Amino acid sequence: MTFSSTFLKALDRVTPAPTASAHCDGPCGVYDPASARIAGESVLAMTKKLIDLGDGHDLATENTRSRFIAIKEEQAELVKIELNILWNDYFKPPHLEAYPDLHTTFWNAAKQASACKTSVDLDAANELMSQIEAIHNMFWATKNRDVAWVTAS
Amino acid sequence: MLPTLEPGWFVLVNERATPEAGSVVLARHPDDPELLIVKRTDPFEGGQYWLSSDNPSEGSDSRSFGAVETSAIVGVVTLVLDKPRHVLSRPAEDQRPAP
Repeated sequence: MTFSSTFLKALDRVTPAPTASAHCDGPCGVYDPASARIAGESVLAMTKKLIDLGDGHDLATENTRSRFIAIKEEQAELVKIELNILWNDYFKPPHLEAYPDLHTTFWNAAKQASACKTSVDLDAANELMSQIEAIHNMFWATKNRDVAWVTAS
Repeated sequence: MLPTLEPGWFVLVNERATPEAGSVVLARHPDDPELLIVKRTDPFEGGQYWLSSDNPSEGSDSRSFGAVETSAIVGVVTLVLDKPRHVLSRPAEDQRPAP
């Protein structure tokens, strides 16, 4: 500790110097709505499979139906988790100025994921995908990048 | 910014200096102008600057937010008050924390 730094630190207590951060975000800084999109596609796929499975009540069909429902439930929850990461960690107040309906968009998408849990409804699952696509478009626009919306299925 | 800067260190910033390749700079985060960040800089195409962290596994930098405009640079870090003889030059590859 030199005299000058002792002096400047004493001065800092009187008129604090601004603080600069070296860790200004999540550790990796890697965000991509693709994670939510893949989970959303699983919800859509499971909804289709549940409808195609029909209404048989034999043991094998009940077992398959239970598995489809469990995966749909789990993947819909994953959609909400992945969207929350984007909403809470990636998007910042300046983005809200550019996209005033940002909060509503995320809120509706999370509610749509819940709607996909409580129903076996193709329209609801397709609507979830549309809402994730809207977030995809908003996300990449904030980075001034034109990233096409592609789906795995 | 480990191993170059440790948390809590006081630094002096020259707001008139022009950053050179490898300078440590004080900048404003492009997504949040209120947030001051300290990063290693390299001139980038179009008069922009590429900001990187000496500790790539921890800091977010131009890998996530892209190159920044000259106006985002507040100044060049010229002295570490706690360690007056401290060298601010870019650490060798094998001295940086693993990504």
